[in-house]
Amino acid sequence: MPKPIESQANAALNKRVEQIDSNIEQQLAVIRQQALTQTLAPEKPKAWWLTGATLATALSALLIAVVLFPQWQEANMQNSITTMLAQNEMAEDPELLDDMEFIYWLSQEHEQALL
Amino acid sequence: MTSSLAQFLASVEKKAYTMANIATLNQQEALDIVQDAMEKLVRNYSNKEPAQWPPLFYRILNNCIMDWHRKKKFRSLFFFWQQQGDEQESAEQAEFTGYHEQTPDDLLSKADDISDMLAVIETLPAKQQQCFLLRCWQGFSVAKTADIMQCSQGSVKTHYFRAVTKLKAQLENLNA
Repeated sequence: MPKPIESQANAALNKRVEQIDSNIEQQLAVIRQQALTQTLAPEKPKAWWLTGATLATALSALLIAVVLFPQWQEANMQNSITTMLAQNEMAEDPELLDDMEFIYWLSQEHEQALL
Repeated sequence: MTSSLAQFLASVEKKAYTMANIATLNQQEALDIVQDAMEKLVRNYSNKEPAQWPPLFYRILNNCIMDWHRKKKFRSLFFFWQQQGDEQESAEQAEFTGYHEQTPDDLLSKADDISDMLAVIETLPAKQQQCFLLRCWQGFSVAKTADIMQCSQGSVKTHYFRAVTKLKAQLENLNA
């Protein structure tokens, strides 16, 4: 009675494993040792600031600063000009000047009355 | 953990090499595949439970073998002009080493039962070959084989059935 195909195949494959020559066995042992030593070796601590993500973040921040700083400066300058103009307008207001003359006259009158 | 991992790798290395060698028919390529699989297992799964290593290792090995087949197919598609040179080179190498790539006709002419069986296994398509080796030789269940090969259990059953049918047919031809 013929053996089932699976057991025939197993026997053939096991035989092939037994027949692996010593040169290949040595190479397999070297490969195994390399896999264990190289991959399990403790990794050197990386400089965190040198990682790509950190570098990209730093560059983005710099770019944003370069783009936004002139805008902020311009806005600040416009604000100061507006304030100055408002002050000028106040100074040139005739009603306000009249009021100031009246206050001055009133203070003079008050001083003379005291004398 | 390292010693148990070393023991595990030592226990599977010959079978893994044989599987890779049957798939590639090339000793150096087979060694490269085993090295790749071992390094990936150690790097990514050394912290897993030892009971989980066999399916993980054979999954990685299967992926490496399938990658090798894909690369070979890609090379033959896009670098077809180099094939002539490769064939010449491999013929020279075969002459030097005494190894000839086996065709089905060569296989049929072999007399030894074990050689016949191995030669027929070598001619199986990649997925059927992997499925047969994992189920029959490594003794993985249908579910585990499906997990290793990343396919459905139905596909595993189909690959296995086709592989066994082909093996039977070719061996009957040899014995006739």
